[in-house]
Amino acid sequence: MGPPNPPTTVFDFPPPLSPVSSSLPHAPVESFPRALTGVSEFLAIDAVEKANSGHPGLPMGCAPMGHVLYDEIMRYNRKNPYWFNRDRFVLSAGHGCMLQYALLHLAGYDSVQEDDLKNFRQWRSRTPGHPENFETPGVEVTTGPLGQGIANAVGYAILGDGCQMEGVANEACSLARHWGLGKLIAFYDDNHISIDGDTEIAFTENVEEHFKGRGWHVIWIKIGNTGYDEIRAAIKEGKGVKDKPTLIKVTNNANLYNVYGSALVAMEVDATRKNLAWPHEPFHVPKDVKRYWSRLV
Amino acid sequence: MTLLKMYGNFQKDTPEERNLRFGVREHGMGAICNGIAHHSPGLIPYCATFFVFTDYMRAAIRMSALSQAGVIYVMTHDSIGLGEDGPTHQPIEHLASLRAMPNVFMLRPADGNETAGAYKVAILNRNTPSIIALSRQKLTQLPGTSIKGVEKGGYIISDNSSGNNPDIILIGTGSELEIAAKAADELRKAGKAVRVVSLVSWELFDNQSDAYKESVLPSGVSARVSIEAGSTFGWEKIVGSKGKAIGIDRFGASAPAGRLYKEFGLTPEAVVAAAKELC
Repeated sequence: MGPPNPPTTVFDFPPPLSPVSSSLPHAPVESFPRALTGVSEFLAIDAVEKANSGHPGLPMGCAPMGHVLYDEIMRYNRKNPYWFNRDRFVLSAGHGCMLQYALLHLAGYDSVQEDDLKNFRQWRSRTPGHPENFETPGVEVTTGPLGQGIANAVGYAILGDGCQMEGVANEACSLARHWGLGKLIAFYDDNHISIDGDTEIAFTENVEEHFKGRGWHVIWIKIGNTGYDEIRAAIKEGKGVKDKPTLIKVTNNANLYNVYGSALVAMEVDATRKNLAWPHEPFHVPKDVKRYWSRLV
Repeated sequence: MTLLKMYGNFQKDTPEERNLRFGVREHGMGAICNGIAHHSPGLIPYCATFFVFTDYMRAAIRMSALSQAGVIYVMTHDSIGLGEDGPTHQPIEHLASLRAMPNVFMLRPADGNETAGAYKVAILNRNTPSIIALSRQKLTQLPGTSIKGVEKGGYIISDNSSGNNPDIILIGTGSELEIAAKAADELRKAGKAVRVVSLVSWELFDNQSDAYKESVLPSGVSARVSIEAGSTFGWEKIVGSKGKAIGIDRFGASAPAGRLYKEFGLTPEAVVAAAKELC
């Protein structure tokens, strides 16, 4: 179970399949965004449920931004996870890895098949409880201890309240600005929850002012759960800022189920399915959604 | 959450309360506790997080040791026993590395009795920090454990030998003491004279008289097997060159705890097999 071999040449250009780029026409996401993000949300809920272990909260709250990134913005080659010119994504809040596994699965990576989702957090699976780069191609670094990922990150990253509290995150973010890392765009999942519960207990600072004071470019999306256009616009704006890193604060005010790090009880999973009007069986990816993702090939 | 149940949260408006909610700020937490400990002798701070995150506050722990601050570090989720969170969260080298740090009591109690003993040691020692490693998983009360035993760092929990000359000595700590005890049962059924030792804290044991140490781990008995869900680094000092240390010398994995114990060979069967090779 050693690490996979890295590409043998630096210039490992992909085969004829074209990489995803934002210039590709895409089916109007507006017509069924719920159907799309619902798939990854429920893959996460189902996987955590089956493992009876894991963290469903972040995958649920960050599904919209995860989707916009993997579906529309990021350049990558699902058949060559080590493609030299790929965009790099780091989930600094590594406990939310079911979000990333679900997206890698939908995007068609070989490393996360349906069986891998069902084996979340099991012996020898490719979907361990925190993302491990040497286990799962498509995962760039190993995260879990908070704050490490944002420090590792170049390109796109998602970090949360826990990461922000850690000293190492502060060290790295301070340097990112000093070095003018314009290509770093970090999404801050503002969901008011950490392992201790509500952030009212221990984390009440004004994050935008803090990052602005550091000299980062800061954008605030107030309706993270449904603001797809806002997310797209924010990424576009962030990409336009070349001389400083960008923080996109995405406020998710609907932590409806007070979830952080435990499987929703079976009853709650059913209730969630009803509440969000999700008609599909566990681990099921609807045909039209599969077709939608395969347009990227 | 390892909170004081009878007190509320210390916040701006409730400074009389006793639970400081540090958030995800381990290094800050350790250093703040050092400040509290040094402020006046009547203040006894404890702090708590996952054992693996001693890495995030090691500098502060070292300062506790160096500056002689009796901070109590309550560190839970102390091994692969935590299961599915996986290798990023499973300590391996932490017990060994903290045993290597001077002026630290690294305690790994096996059950309720021993935890009470560890706490007593921690409270009484105001010039030495104590790190108490506790499991995530529930553990059973084992016959033979005692607070007094913990105060000596290492002691015998069961023994069917005589003349301080057992056929084999099994040594365990924390969650693995029970595994050693089960192995002892098997070996005794096969007619062996087996002594089971709980080695809760190497430093405390080292501080005992030579006579006491000899009565627990007699130099004449080289047939020794230890079991601990962590690195075997350092265990040769205890089991000797003829003994066998059972542990984990690789990073862990993300799977249910029971599966991990089996796959990594931390079982009574493994202890019995190792013992049979020596006696």
